[in-house]
Amino acid sequence: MKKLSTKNLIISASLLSLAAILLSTTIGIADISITQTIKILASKILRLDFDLGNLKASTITIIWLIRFPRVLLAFFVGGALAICGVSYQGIFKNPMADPFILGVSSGAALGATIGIITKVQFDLFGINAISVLAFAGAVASLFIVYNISKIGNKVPVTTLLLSGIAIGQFLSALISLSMIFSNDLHKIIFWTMGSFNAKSWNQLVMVVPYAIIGFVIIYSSHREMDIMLLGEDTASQLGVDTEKLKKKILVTTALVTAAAVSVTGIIGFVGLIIPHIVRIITGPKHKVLLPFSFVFGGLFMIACDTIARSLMSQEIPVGIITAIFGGPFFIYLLRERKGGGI
Amino acid sequence: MENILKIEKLSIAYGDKLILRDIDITINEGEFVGIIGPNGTGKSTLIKAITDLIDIKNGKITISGVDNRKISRRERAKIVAVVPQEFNIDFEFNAFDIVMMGRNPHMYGKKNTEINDFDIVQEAMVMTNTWQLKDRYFNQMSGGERQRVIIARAIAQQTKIILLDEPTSHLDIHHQLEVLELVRMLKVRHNITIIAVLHDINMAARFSDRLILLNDHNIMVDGTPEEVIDEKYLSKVYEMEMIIRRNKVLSVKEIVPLRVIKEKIDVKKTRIHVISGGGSGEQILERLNSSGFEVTCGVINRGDSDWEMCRILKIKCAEGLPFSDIDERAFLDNTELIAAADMVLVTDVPFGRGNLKNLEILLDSNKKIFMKRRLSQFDYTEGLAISILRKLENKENFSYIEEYDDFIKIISRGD
Repeated sequence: MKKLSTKNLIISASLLSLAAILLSTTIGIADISITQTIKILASKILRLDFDLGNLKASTITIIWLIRFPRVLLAFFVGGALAICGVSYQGIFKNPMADPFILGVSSGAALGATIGIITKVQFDLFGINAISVLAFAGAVASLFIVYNISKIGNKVPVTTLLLSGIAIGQFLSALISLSMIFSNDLHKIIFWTMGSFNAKSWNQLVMVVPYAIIGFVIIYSSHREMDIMLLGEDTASQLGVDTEKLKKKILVTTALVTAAAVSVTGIIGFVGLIIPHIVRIITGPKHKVLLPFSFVFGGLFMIACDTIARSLMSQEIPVGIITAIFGGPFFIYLLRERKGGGI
Repeated sequence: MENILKIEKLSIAYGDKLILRDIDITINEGEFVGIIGPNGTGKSTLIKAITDLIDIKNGKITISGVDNRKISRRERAKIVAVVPQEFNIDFEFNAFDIVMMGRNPHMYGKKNTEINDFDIVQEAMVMTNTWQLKDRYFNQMSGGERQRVIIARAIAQQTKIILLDEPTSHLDIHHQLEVLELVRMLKVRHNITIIAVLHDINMAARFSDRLILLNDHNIMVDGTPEEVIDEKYLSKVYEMEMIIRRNKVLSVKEIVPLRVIKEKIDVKKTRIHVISGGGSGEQILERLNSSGFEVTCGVINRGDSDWEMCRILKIKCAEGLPFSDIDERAFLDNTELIAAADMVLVTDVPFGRGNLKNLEILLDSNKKIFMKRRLSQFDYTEGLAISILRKLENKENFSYIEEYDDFIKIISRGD
């Protein structure tokens, strides 16, 4: 596959994002036209004085309070998971790494499970108890994995990956155990499959700062992450403080992943395949790979969520859609590129 | 000259396993130092220690006058560049990207250095003849091209020292030579200090100003190639039979590795006299000698390559003056040696007037005579040698052999 020029990529990505956001905000069970959508969004965002008098109040509510924030949330969560996947695959030099490989997802799921079972009710900056506990669980699991793997001042990648998998399995077992003794089995299972259902501005406000600040921090190391792909020893000999870089990336991605997961539940596959797909288009340099993974991760998530909520009358968890559509597409790409590098 | 690298009392261990013990090395700016030694003697470990990739147990490394432990990764990468043995990546970086990575240590906290960096990378790639490869993917290049790109990266790093860890071990002979010539050029033109771990002792001796031979966790000898390429060190370290001789074309000492596993022959103190000359005996002289036979040789002229072989192997021989006919004294020496031998072996040496006496002498001998059958012209005496040979053929104690293997078989049977 020929690599596109960066300029063309930027233009096509921006246009695509805009179109996708508009389109998926328009698509849904309630029949709303695209002009109505544009009118509502323009008057709300740009404060343009369109005459919304002839629109029903419920239409405005559906667009502005339900669909639009949900689409934006899907964009940012998809983007955030994709850049976390890029980062892990880069610093671990492992094509199978995804944002959940260090047990962050299992930690979040355990936190959410505790929240669902105990039915605690509290609110932190408009975020419900389940999300807060999921976030805490995610951060705690990374903290444990990191400290188990730490030898002196160093964190060897293999130990990190293995203890991540071990802790992840351990926490999953705890979740399964709690599910057996719980009446909320259905709720827990749905949480672990991820969904943007009933998400609005509160959740968006929770995720966006993590996604943007996380992106900025990771992007600031794009050159060093390129060099990490040559192996840790070589990177050190080229002046990269590999341990510092690993810590920086690990902590950042873990917080970003935790923020995303705590709000939406576990949405798999995006963080694994989007980086690979974008790498095929842009090449491995993080300077280009990171921003485009963010955009394409976001677009992919919008598409999956739109399908999830409009395919059937009952909403399908989006994690199922990402895998059902992403898997075959990814395999197609792999077969197209047989013999090439990653 | 400045000490650019000083290693004092350096010891390194992996767990309980000692790798290096009390190493002392001082390297001056602009030197090309080759590090040689068998596998597992800590050569690569030394390279890792200098770039602070492993912890040192004892001792101290000083680079440009500063304690290595106090130098940050970034600062060290401005002083020391590394060319590894082999380098593979799964990602599609092109050659230019790889070389540009060499600029990394210089890029922190600087703005607008792109043009400058581009120029430096271009210069490094032109120097290594890789500029035309700049858009090719690194993982699709040949071994030689990759190694040149990696050297370009080291050049772009603009360091005072370049460390090479077996840079040629995956390359064919053309590319081995190319890489080492390139590295030597860096030393000569840019006064870069080169420290290279090399497997090929002859290449190391040829390109280095100084060789360090490591063995058994320690330095066996540290000196000029002239001093280090010596059987007393090398045969002990590498545990094999070898010949050290002067390569006259390159005027350096070189090692000819012979064998590690000995042929087992029951030799029963057999004494063999070899008549050869002009290099026809080099191979069999060495073989007989190392198999444990008592070998003598004659008459050969001084300076003849067979004569040199006898000298290296300490084989007793009747010798004549260079470019002269066999004189009376040499002839008598030869007669004595034949008389003392159990049998005589004649190589396919050609005969001219100068050495005809070596053939005549056999007419009076009653020792068993084995002669390698001659396939091409050997008589440069207008028939004299052939007529002597006819007479020899009629003697009962004379027989031909086709190959030296046949001869070895016959004598080891003991008949």
